[in-house]
Amino acid sequence: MGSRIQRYHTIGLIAVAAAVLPFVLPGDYAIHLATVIGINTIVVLGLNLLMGYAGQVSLGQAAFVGIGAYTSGILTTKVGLSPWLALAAGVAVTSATGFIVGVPLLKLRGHYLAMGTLGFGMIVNIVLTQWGGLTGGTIGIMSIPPLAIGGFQFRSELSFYYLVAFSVLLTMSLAANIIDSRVGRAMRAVHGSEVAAETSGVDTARYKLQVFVLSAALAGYAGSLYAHHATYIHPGTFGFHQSIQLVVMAVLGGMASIWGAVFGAGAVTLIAENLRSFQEFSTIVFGGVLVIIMIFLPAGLWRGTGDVLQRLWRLRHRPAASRSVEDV
Amino acid sequence: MSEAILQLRDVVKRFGGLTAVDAVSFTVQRGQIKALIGPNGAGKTTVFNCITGVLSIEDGEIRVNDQSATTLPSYRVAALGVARTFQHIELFGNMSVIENVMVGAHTRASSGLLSAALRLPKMLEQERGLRARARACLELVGLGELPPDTEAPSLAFGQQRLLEVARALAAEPALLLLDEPAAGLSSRESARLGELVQRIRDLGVTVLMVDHDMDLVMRISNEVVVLDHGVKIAEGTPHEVQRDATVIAAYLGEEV
Repeated sequence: MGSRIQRYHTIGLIAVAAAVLPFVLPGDYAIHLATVIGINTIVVLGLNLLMGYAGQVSLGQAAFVGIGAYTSGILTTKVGLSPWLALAAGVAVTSATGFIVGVPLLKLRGHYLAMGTLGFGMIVNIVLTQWGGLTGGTIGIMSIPPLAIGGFQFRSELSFYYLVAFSVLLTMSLAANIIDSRVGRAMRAVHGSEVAAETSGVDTARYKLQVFVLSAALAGYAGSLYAHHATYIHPGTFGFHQSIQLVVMAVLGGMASIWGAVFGAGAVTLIAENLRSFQEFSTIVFGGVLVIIMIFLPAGLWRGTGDVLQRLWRLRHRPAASRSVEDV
Repeated sequence: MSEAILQLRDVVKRFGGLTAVDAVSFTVQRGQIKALIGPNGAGKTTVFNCITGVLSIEDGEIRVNDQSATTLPSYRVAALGVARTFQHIELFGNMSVIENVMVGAHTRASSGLLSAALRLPKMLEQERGLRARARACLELVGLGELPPDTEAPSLAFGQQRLLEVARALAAEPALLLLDEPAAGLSSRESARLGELVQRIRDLGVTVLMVDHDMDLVMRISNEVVVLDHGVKIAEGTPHEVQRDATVIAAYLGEEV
């Protein structure tokens, strides 16, 4: 898992980059995009723990994002709860849902688990669409209040950006800590060999459930953030398509890589954004770009880019090395 | 030497119409090296899978340390002090050498998700303990020279077998089950393995092993159980078993 010092360096570097980023971005819309990338990164970090490290597939992750967003939306607009409490409730409700759904679903393996989580995602989307009285149906919920500390509201793009950036860094640190621990090794062992994990004393069902609930909680947190940022939510945002995009972000960034999550979320969000001019062909072009990236960087953007740089470095330095030999 | 650490009584395991283990009973005494031998398909690995809870049995009883392990899931059998290796290597390919061994010591620590996420001092102390234990186990099996961050799949085959032994030892088991530890090893590696198994026994770990290397089995075992088609056909010291007519017939395929 690399060295600990190296990990803190990486987090420090990302923190500095995140702090400086808004000043180099061309305007509010770019900052808005960075915020969206950050929110997606939080979901992808959870998905990465679940899929990349513990080897359990979820094709319904957007449903947890939706549950978090709707918990926030409903509790603030209909109950009048403070946004922070609503955010905490969003995490609590998604965790509880993750637990209740996880107990039966995680008995499934591989493709069957994928199908199960897919079904769960669809059910949630149907509930969000059909339970009009509570969720506002296809129209959704409007005028969700922003998060605020004292008199300060996180209403501007810049302030919300920093809130999300802080959340991302915190999530990354926690995730990196978990991976490099007894619990994290147990989760990875489930992926490596379930039978060997069990006979080593690892209660695999328990750790699968833990990581599933954790990934649900992170998705719920991101969903709540999204609701208070967008101030308007509707079911279309949390459907099957979004679940797939989240998986694509995880795979593209690199399946078992904390740092890759940012790159995956960033790449997918930006590619989708820049393909808008292709209109109905954008999905085709999007698919094409993904295929090309996976062919050339199969380990994902994070490690893949590292490998390419290493190769370039060697190419550049090998001639130099042989020259010095000739000199002697 | 009189205390039983493992008792099998009339254990039956069926796969559909096939009775893979047919009313097998035997006892392993504390401090022994006991071997489980038999021709291919005799049910040796199946017996291991039944003991460790990988397979559930149809009938009979399995007791570990005088506690019933008959219906326990694998991870709870492990908590009773039973560790094992696999005939077909089952390492955690997504982890480093030292991490593989540290998973073996899973039951020897208790820190959970929260203390891991926050890196609480108690958890860090446990981590240091686990790491030190893992190093000691790697040294014991002769892998102490490997860089601990080596990825497990990059090891040579013989090293992977030893890594499985180290992982099993990290649990500080009372009973160690070795499933064909010498399979695929050169005769020199196999001889060294024999010494290692004896050293493990001398450390107070009881060993039950399956192997086809008769030289090795007969040299280091205190007792031998012979299975054929799921039935126990002989049990005794290596000397006794080698002279048993049923055993000779089973191996050479003669009519008795």
